[in-house]
Amino acid sequence: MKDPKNILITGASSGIGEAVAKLYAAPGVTLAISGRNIERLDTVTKTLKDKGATVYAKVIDVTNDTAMAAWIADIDKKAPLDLVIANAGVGVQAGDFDNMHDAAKFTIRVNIGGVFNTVHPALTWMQKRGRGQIAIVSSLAGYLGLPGSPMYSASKNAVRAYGEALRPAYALKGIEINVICPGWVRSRITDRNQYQMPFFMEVDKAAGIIVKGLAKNKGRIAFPWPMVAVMKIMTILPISWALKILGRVTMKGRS
Amino acid sequence: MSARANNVNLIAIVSSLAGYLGLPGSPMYSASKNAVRAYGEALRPAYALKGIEINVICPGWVRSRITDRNQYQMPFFMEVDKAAGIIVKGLAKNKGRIAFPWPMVAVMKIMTILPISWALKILGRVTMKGRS
Repeated sequence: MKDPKNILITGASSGIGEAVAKLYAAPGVTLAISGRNIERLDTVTKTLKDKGATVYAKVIDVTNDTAMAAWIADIDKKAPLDLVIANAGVGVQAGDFDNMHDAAKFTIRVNIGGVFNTVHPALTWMQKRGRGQIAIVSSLAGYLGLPGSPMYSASKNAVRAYGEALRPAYALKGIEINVICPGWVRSRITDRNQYQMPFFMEVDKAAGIIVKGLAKNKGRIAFPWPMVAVMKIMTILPISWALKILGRVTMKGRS
Repeated sequence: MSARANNVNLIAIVSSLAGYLGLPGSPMYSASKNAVRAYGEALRPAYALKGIEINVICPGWVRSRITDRNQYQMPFFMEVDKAAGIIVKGLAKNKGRIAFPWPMVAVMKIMTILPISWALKILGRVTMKGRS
């Protein structure tokens, strides 16, 4: 929708969430933001307030479903939400966990569970008004399995598909559901990538594309376009070819 | 697999053609099947180097306790024994992705490259029939 006034963004203490929040921040706009780190969140809060926005910031773990439901209900009461962006996400790297099972459970809990914990309470309140917009941050890694990033790819494919499948039914109820699929954008996740990231984009540019796409209610906001084109070609190639090509990029230096 | 060395290790993950995109009206199923398809794909290259073959199976609408509950006309519906034959053959060849029936695979591949609004409109005509 155009010019949303009351906006909630999870994972807004850094990366894409922070950059999008800054773009929306203006007098007359209320921003509810969450993050895990109080220092980072305080810094962002100050910036948003300096731009004239009313800010509610909360340190909250998106995997805590009761806390998330309570927080969203509370914000919606103070400032009926126009736009909710389920942005919080993590990327695990080799060595973060002792075993792949724990790494997978953690990624799924945050990147999928966290999206559900954001989207479902938001839908409850928006449905009562028959208007609102919900954006889910997926990734271009949400098109296919990226060799070397099984958990991240799984989670991002899941939430992309979730948003897509919800979109038609909720459109009839006046609620816009959008999926955001960024390529490699500067963030705390991509900072840890060891490989050369094709068509790498700075976060402010990404935020601009996202805000414009949401204003137009574009079902899928995917960028940068050359990388989108590559990924679309990959999805129609035989999977063995696609994995070979993608693996050349993402598995560089690993065995 | 039996035709090759005995020490081949094979893992197959059953996803679905609903694992290519979000099927209107089946958000949770689509999400889960997209997730496990991508998971298997992303694991495949690294495990191939360790002698472990990871395959993803993406059936279209096949007779099962899941599809028995679908209220809509399922295009290219397949009986389960035929599906099983395709799966066993595909695993023997270590195909990576075993997707069928082929006309439905072709449709889904086209959907993945279309603008998402068109794809959802077309798919929704099938899966959202009779719902509002």
